Amino acid sequence: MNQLSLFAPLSVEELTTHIKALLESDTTLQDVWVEGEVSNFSRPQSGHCYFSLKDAASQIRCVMWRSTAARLARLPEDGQKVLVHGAVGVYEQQGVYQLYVNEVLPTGIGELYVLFERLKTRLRDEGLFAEERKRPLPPYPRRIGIVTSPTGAALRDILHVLRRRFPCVEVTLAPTPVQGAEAPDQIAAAIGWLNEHTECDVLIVARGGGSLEELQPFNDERVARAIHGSRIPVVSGVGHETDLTIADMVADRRAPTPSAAAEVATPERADLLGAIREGRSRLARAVAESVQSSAERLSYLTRALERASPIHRVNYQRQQVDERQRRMIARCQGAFSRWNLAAGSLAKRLDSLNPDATLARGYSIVSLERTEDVVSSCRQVESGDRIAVRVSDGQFGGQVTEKPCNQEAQAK
Amino acid sequence: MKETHHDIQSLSFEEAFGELESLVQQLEEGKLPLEETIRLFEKGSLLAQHCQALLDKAELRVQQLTEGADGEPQFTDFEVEE
Repeated sequence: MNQLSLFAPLSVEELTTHIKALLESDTTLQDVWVEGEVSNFSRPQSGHCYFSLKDAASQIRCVMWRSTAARLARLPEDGQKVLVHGAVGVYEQQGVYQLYVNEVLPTGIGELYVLFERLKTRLRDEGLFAEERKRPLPPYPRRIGIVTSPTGAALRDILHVLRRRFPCVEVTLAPTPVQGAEAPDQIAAAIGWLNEHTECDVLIVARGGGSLEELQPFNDERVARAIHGSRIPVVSGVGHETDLTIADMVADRRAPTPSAAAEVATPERADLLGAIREGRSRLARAVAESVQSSAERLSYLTRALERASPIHRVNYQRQQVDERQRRMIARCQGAFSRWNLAAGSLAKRLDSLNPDATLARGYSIVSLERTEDVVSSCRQVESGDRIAVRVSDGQFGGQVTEKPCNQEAQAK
Repeated sequence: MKETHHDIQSLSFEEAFGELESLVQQLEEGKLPLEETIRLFEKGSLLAQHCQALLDKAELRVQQLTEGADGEPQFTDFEVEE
């Protein structure tokens, strides 16, 4: 900023520029809410709006550009009490300071709005809206806690969606009023109760659409802190698409409506059925593959086992035995035939030695009964010895009657 | 087997679905003995059936949590009009 000199005179432009710079460097003046009554409202061809804001003691000129005016549901009217937000600036050409308005709210709502903005800023600075503290929702919730009015359309919509999408979920409703002075404490308490006394794995805090006043409980610090303090992740579904409440900002997930909150909190039934179907077919495929590979392995092992079977060894040994047996038989047969020949001649010779033939010719064999020796000499016998005489057709007994010495003498 | 069947009936969707998933993965690794494979397959089929039944047949059950006269939590059935 230029330092003003007390001695050198300034041009009007220099002075005006200095004043402008002074006002525009003041942070309060650049972000200010002012309440007052509208007067001299005009909107020329350009589309920009010009009016004054006044109270009993003062007034200030206001400018609202066409783009701001286009956003407003209703333009301000003369005599209307409003709350405006804007920045103070200088219009050099006319040497006037004025408020460049970027928001106009009817008083009442306007106050709520200011409170809302203040709370939002404070809680944001405190980190309550931080992305990194938002928790994931369970993919397949077991029990859903609902904080809403037991009689509202919001509850009906939520239950309808739950029944359609994921009917196996269990629901615990903590009924509360959702508007009025009682609502914030009761909503906050319900969130606390569900945390303390139930096994819910996700909470839905919901309310149907309404005016800013009606949605006020969801812009209340007590509710915001209860959501923030919830051990269970919270899905908010407050109002319609366009309503964005403090509760929505603190919640782990924000859904634009109660129905949408129920959808966010549950899996899609068709997806699940698809997933189950896929699980089934993967199961069947895995088993078929397993059976197939087991069968292949089995047949491989069977073949390997067959190859390694002792039957092969047995057969080999059997062959070896056969082989030896054959050789043995061949050898033996040679020997046998030779022995047969020999045996034949032996039999003949044996036959010629058979005494029966001699006996048939009239010879006899005398044997001594007492010794059973064959008698071939007189000296063997004594007179009176019993003898057996064998002839061709039998034998008979006898007795020696004469001295053998006689016979000997005779022979001499 | 009967007992397994009974056990499965008492599983929540999350538990049954999670078990089905891990079981399919286990089977797909293909390192299990055949008998175990068959056992897991039977179990998996029951799990899938149970999950489907939970989605098809389950009735949405709603209970209400309110503060009793004694200041203690009180759970009551909440009648839902369709």
